[in-house]
Amino acid sequence: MTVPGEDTRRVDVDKMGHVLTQRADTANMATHDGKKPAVCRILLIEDDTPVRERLAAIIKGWPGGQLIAACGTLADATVVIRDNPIDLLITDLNLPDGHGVQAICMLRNNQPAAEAMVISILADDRNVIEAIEAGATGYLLKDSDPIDILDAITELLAGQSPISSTIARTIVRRLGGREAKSGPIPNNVDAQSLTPREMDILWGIAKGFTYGELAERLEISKQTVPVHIKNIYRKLQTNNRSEAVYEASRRGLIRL
Amino acid sequence: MAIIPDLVTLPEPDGAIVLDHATYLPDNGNGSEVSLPHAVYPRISQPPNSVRYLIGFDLPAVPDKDLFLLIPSVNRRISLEFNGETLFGFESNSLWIGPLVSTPVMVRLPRSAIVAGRNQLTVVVESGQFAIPSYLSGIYLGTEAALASAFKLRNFLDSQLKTMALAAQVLLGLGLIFAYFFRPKDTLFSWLAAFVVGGFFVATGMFIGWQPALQSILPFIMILTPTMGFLFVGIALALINVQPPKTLRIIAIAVPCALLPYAWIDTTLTKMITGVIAAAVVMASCVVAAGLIAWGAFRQRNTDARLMLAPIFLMAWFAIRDGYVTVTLPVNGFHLLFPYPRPLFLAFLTAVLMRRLGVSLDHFDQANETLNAKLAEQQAELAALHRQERAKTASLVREQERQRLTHDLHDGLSGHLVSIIALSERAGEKSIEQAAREALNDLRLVIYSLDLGDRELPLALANFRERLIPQLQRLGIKLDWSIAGLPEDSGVTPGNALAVLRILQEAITNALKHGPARKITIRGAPSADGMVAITVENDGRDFVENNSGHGLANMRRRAQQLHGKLNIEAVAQGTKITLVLPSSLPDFEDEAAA
Repeated sequence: MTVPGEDTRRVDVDKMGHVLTQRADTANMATHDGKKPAVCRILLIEDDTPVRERLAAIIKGWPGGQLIAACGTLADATVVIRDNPIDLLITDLNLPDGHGVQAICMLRNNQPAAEAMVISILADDRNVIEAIEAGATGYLLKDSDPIDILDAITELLAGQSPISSTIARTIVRRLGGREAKSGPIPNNVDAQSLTPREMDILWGIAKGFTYGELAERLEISKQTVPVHIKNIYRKLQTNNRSEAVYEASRRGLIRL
Repeated sequence: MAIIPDLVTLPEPDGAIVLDHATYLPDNGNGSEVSLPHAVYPRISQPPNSVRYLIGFDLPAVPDKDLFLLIPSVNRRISLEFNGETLFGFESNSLWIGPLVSTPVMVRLPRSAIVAGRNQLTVVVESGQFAIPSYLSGIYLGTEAALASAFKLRNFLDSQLKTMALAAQVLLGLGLIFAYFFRPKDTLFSWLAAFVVGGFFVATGMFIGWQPALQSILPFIMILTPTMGFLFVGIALALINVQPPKTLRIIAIAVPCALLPYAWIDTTLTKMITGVIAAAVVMASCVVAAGLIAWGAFRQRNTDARLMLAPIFLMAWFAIRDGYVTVTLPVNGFHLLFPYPRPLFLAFLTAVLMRRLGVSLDHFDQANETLNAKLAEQQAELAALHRQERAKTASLVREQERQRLTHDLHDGLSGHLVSIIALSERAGEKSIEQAAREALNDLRLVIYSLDLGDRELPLALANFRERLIPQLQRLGIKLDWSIAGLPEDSGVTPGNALAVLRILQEAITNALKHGPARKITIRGAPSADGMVAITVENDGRDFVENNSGHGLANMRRRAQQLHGKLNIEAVAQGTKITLVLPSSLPDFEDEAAA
């Protein structure tokens, strides 16, 4: 699939790597310094009209956010990403003319400081992890209550990411699957970049512990667990950068 | 050892006249008075063909009956003349007579030949050869009744027993030759087979009394005799499981080859030389073999060696003893004992071979059993692998099915449900929205459980919790959840995990329906009897009495399916449902198959 105006977005690997690093730094700064934009500019991509309208209504009703656009297709969204500054992308994964991951990659290239979040009906591990590797740091269930949705957005902007036990299990398996408590951290590139604490958290969630139980066990504050999760997501994303670039190129998103 | 007297002395005949004095008259020599028994070496310089013994005795009168002469032991052909009449010619001698085979001779003295007064008996003994003296024992004169039993006993021991031993040797030998052909790599078989073949040739020496012409093969038999000694050592080594050295084989072949000219020339001197060599080698071999067998029997604790110990020890002993008496020619008797242990040797050799056969069969059986056990083990392993493979395939199929289902649900059903939720929410249709949400939740319950593996009950419960939290939050109910203490449960499959989750779902649904609960507490912990217990407690109204029955029946049925127990009790404030599960959950699919 080709993207309109792709020639203007042609980047090489080095440049992209540089851009990504910058983006991570900016994001961290934003998190730590609390320099968030006054109003969060949000782009919504959802092909199902009632759902799109519902989500759009929830966002519109939120004083903290500003809905830039609610698109039903990837093509529409591409135009918006190209032309408008965005702070948060909320995208469905299955789109009639493409995949939500493509929108996330595109956003990352165009507006590295922006956050991305996927909306999924099932929040199943494969789709969510694919989105995380592409650069998303959060996910929403489509049928969530308005309060839950806004909570999730607020938490994400505050530097906290959600994780389900299934997703944690899948990540643990990918990192070598060993229990952090019982042995050394697996000697591979992905796992090396995760701190022992992060491995403990992933392992604990995969085992079914609640944030509260985990915080008690690891003697950390319950609120820092989702912060660790977001850092884990970031590492998964950066560690798979070349893979993501390859993936993006394979999908015809960028040309190397 | 050599000077130890003979073990057994054969009984002398009773009531017989003993003739133990004779005039010894060599062919070319002067007569001398000797006492019997008498043994004499062949002379090398002027070989006598025979020696004569002239024995005179007086009888007061011609007896009423025929008298008999018993010569208990001769080792050469003899002839007897009585009062100038030949009673017993060389041709009348036993077939078996020979240097190593002493035989008794019993001859009738016809009344007609006996005279009152002086009677003259002449015994002609063929000259000894091969360094073994010729020998004449004392002579008994008496009635048939007086002499017969002594003769029969000696005839049996000296003649018949040796013949029987020969027959046994032939039989065993044939068996051994077959054994060798079927199993040439067996050391004992090959050495025994060589021994047997050599033994057949040597045994022809027993037949030289048959035809005078056969005498000419004796030198060749004699040069083969040392080989028998070497083979004997080889057999002893093989019996104690030591590979005989190659040099032994070479010597066993080289020695007779080297002696071949002596056999060819065949003079008395060469006969003496080959005889001495043969005797020396046989004696030495017997001693060496006895030593080896004794070492095997006592040091190695080798059963074969223990069995062979007695005959080989006797053979060694008798060989030395015979050597000793051959050299010293004791006055009282010269009687070679060496041939006697041969039947014993053959008997024990048979025992050894049979034992080896039995042991081999036992080993064979054991090997069979081991192989069968291994085969069964491998088959079991293979079957296990097959089961694993099938389980893998099944899980792969399930995974594919799950993906397809997830995909379908994503694109279809769940999408529609979400649309319904969105639409009904907008329209303010609370009940429709609620129904759609429940439907969606149920779908998730099914889909998530499809991905569960063994020991992942906590994960299933965590999934359940993650869906439960927003549901309860909407209703303003607090969830107190802790399953950290849950013991590990094995045998978890998507099927049985789904059953557990449905029970919990039903418990929650009941709590929501019947009691306006403000707080639901869920705990996972080991039960009193070490099983896995999950409790759901709500602080709403007790719904035990006023429930419709349908939901509870379903919960009970599912708990039963899980081989678990469900306990519902009213507590001070609300209801407590306890689900106790076995530490290994049954597989529904397996049960359905069974």
